[in-house]
Formats: sequence, structure tokens, C-alpha cells
Amino acid sequence: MKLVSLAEMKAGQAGIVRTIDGGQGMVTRLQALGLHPGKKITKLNTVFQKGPVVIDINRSRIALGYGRARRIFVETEQ
Amino acid sequence: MSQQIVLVGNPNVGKSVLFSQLTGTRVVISNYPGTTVEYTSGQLVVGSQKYDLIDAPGTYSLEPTCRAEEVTASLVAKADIVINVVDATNLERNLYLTSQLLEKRVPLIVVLNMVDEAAQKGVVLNVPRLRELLGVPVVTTVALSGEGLKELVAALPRAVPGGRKTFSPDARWAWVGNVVGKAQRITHRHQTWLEALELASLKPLTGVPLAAAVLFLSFKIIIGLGELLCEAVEQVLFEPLYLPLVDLFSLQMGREGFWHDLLIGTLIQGEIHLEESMGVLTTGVFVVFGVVLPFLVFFYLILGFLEDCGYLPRLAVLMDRIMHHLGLHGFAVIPMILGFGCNVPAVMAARNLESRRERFLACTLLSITIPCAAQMSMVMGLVGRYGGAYLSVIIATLFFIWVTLGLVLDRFLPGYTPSMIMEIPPYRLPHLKSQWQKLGMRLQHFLVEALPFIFGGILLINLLHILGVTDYLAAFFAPVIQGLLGLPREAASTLFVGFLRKDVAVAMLLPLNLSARQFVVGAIILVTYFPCAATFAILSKELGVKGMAASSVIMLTTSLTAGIMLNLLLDTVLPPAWLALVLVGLGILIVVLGGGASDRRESAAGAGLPVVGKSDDYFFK
Repeated sequence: MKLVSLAEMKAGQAGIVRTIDGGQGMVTRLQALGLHPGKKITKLNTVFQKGPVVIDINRSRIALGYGRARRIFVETEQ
Repeated sequence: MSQQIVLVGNPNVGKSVLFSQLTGTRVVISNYPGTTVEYTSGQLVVGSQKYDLIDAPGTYSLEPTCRAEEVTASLVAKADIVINVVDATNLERNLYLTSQLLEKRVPLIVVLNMVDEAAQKGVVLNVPRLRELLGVPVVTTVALSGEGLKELVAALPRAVPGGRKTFSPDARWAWVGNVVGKAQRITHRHQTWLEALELASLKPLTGVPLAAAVLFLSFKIIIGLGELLCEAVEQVLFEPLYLPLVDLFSLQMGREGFWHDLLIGTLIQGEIHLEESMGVLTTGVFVVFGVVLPFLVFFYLILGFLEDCGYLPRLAVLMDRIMHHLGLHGFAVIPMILGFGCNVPAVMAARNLESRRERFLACTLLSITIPCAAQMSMVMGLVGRYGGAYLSVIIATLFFIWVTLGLVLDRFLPGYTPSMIMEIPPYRLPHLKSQWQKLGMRLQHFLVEALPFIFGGILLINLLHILGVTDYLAAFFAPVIQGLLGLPREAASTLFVGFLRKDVAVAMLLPLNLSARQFVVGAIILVTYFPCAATFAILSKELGVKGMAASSVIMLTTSLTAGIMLNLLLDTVLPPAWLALVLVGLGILIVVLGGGASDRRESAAGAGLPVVGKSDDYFFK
């Protein structure tokens, strides 16, 4: 099992969210958007210069700022 | 007693469309999360039963994370019936909120909206099964076309509370997974051209040129068509029809006297001058209908299109990196863009931002540096006469202030701005009827809100002039206005009017016969020094008394500094085109080298290091 942060994932790569390393507020907010441990997500864009990460989750799109994307860890498919 | 129904749902699922269809009340609807930040209520009458229908701001959860969401949570607590509007294309995410609503003891109806789009996207929903699983009435609708509304109204008396016990978030998601597994099936479908464009507009390589093209084209259309309409209005309406009428009226009044001064103003070389005479019927009417309105029409048309097709959130993603240098993040682009229309809705849109810190930053920045469409059209029309280079100095100066002030504030405000979490809606083709309605609403709003202030401002200034107060003001402010800014002392009264309305104030610079430099200095001061009365009112409400005081000090200091610098540099040290280039270049350099204080603090917080203050506790909480 290999854990990488959303920021480090490659564009087009899919994986399952394992840990969210953030405060209660951030976890609750992501939770409400459907981003919680066990959820399958796909990263859509290439991050340019610490820009935001865009992911696909249940076929809807969510943009996460770099600071937050770095703290969401995903188990990627090899 | 009428019953209270609250429309609750995730952002951007069509609550406002449903609301305006059901009540006939017009509200602004767009295709981006966070359009509605305050609730609107309307009446719905079914037979003998009266309902108060409330359109609540969208939320993902009943545990609020921003001010707009707090409103919704408190509305649900007081509701007699809740209509939970669910985006049928995205059942899973929407059902989380539904699960929370089912835990409340409030009669509930679930509306599956946008079933047409869901079908197009290959989402097959088993509605009877869903009804069974949720235990409350489920109705399908296409709110934009009005499909299913009758069924919804008929179902209102059948609303029942859900029977779920309070569970943890994990348990809720497990329940959602179970429901979705049983009631939804996804079939294969082809990618549409809109979806292909969706990805292209998010990637930097294709997205940035696309954004540049969209913005350039928007400005071109607004300015080009706006100017054409201005000319047409002047040549068709004002010159041949309106001017002779006013002239006749002036003649009747004997060309002078108290009322003549108020209504017609002063004659310029024995004739009425629609722009410079400064009467309510001359400058007042002309500024509104001859200059501002023609530009406003096209601005709001373009803005409406960008809002409804879903482009704004993509612009937010692309701008995120740049906004981080100013202690904001991508979403703050949306209030900034709305500000180019009118600062009032822009300040309200800032409610979608998470922390007080970013709200203060965004509101202060936008009220200083973003000229509303009315101001902008006056500035373009009047400064443009001295040549495009002088206009570019104004725009470059505003950009420079935006960048440096953002950077400085970010550094000195304690805490940090947490980075963005934002849903990006799919592209949708704008609906013509709702576009038309939105344009009408906004123009009507402008006329209702602006006309009294514009006419009142002109009346007031003419009165002050007749009473001799303006001379006193001019003498009092002379050291600053003449000494530091190099403007004639009579300009004091324009600053005074600027408190009420900026567009008229800019027009008032015209009779002063200013040089190009003076005009640029005057325009910059007017745009930046203080918000107009309407914006001031909403800002004080959003920022609180202390926040507003802090913001005002920042505004006045910034404005004075900018005015003094321009007075010193423009034309004396550098010609306008060069000055504009230097300002833009310097602004970009400062961003690249000095930005990111908030980012560094966020990283430090993430690594468990001490941070100066938390994001929300700083001096004017």
C-alpha cells in the first residue's frame, strides 16, 4: 500500500482516500462534500506552481487549494 | 396562519429557479455555488392554504462552515415544511444533507431536480424505490422549464418527517451508499463537447489562454457595443429630442434663478450643456441614461452569460495561485468580478468566504480598487478624451494598489487564509428567459437604487453651492487638494458628492477644466477614497463597526498616497503609457517576490508549528 498526497498524484490517476490530516473544520467540510476515507477519487489536472488540485468524486468536480490537497492522502492504484 | 416552507439543498441545485417559478418572485439565479447568500421569501397560495416560501442559501451540511450556511441551518430549525432540492445528476453527494434533514423532526419533501440533465448524463433513477428508502414524498422536476411543479405543489400536504436517528458522519455516508446502490444506475454515455471544454478550461496550459480570451472578448464587447449605444442614444434621443425640451423649460424659467440653478444648472457660454451644466435635468439625466446605462446593459449581459454557463468557478481555479499571494484564494475572484458591476452584491458574495480574515481582505480590496460599471463608464468616457494612455494609467494604478495592498494586508493581518474547497459545476447552456429576467432585474435595481442618489447628490451640491458652503469646504481642504494633489480647490465638492455616488462625482470634474494629469489624479482619488453610500451601508453591516473603521483608514491612506504619487510622477517624470507599464511590471514583480505570507503560515500550521493568531481571531472580531 502506497500513500501519496493529492498534490503529488498524477493527472488522471485514481485512488482511494485514506487519511485527512486536518482540523475538525476541514474534515467536516470535506465530509459534507463526500470526500471521506474510503472514497474513490480521480485527480483531473496537473498542478502548476502550487495551484489548486481538481478531483472527480462521484462524477462531480471539486477544486482544493494546494495547502489542503497536501494534507489529503490517497492510496493509489499501481 | 400561513405555513413556512424552506427550500434547502446543496449549492447550485436550482433552489432559486424553483423558488421564482413557484412564487413568481424574481431572484438572481446563476450557475455557480453560492449565488444566494441571503434568504428571500415569497408567497405561495394553494387553494385556501397560504404558504411562505423561503429560498435559503445552499449548503452541503447542516453543520455550517460559512455565514451563508449559518442562515440555512437556522431557517431549517424554524420551518413547518422543508423542501429538500436534490441535484438528480449527483444523487450521492446531495443525499448527505438529506440524511441530516431526515434526522430532524420536520416534515420533508424531496425534489429531484434537473432530471432531464441526469437522463442525458446516463443517470437512471428508480423513483418509487427512492421514495420507499427515504420514507418521504419524492417528486421529480425540471425547474427551469417548470416540469413537475404541479406535482410538487400537490405533494405539499403529504410532507412527513423522516424517521432517521442521529448518526455519525460515517454512518450517514454508509446509509447514502446503500440508498444510491439501490435506487440509481449509471449507464454509459458519450462525452459531450461541453464536457471536453470543461477539462480544457481547468488546465493551465489551455485554461490560461482561454481565460485571457474570455476576459478580453468580454471587455471588447462591453466597451465596443457600449460606446455605440452611447452615441446612438445621444444622437437619437438627447440631441434632437431631449435638449430642445430642456432648453424650452430653461427659457420659461427665465434662464436663471434658484430653481433654474437646481434643475438646469449653469449655462456654458449661454447654452445648456448636457454633461457640464450640473442640473438634475441636464447632467443628472444624461449621466444615468446617456453614459452609464448603455454600458451597464452590455456589462450585465456578459456577466449574466458568464454566471449561467458556469465559467466563473473555472476562472476561480485558474486565479487561485495569484490570489494566494494576496492572502485570498480563487473563490475571491467571483466577488471581484461581480464588483465590476456593482460593489454591493460583490460585498455580499464575499459571505461565501470561510474566515473573517479573508472577508475583510476581499471587501477592503474590492471596495478600493474595483470601480463599479457606473464609475467605470464615466471614467472611460471622460478620461478617454485625453487619450487611451491616460486611461491605462488609471487601470494600471488600480491594479498596482490591488496587488500591493493585498500583499501588505496579508502580511500584517494575523493568521492565515485556509485554502479553497469549491465545487465546480458543469457547463450549461444559458437559459434565454432567465438571462433576460436577470438583466431586467439588475437594470431595474440600478435605476431604483441609483436615481435617487444621483439626483439627490446633484440637488445637494447645487444647494450647498447656492448657500456658499462649497466655498468654505474648498478653503478648508485646499492644503490637501491644492497642495498635495495639485487639483483646483473647487474639486473639494466632488469628493463630497463622491460619498453619495461616484459616477456623478466623476462627471463633476468636467466643468473644472482640468489638465490630463489633474483629471487622472481626481479620478483615482474618487474611485479609491471611499465607497459610495450604498456600498458603505452594506460594508458596515458585513465588517462591523471596528472592521469598517479599520477599512476606512486603509481606504483614505491608500487613496491619498496614490493621488500624491500620481501627481508627482505622471507627465513630469514619466509619460502616461510608460507609467502604466512600470506600474503593471512593478505590481507583477512584487507579487512574485513578496507574496504568500498566508501560505507560509498555513504550512507552518499544518506542520504543527506555532502561528501568529488563528485565522479568525484578530483585532476586530
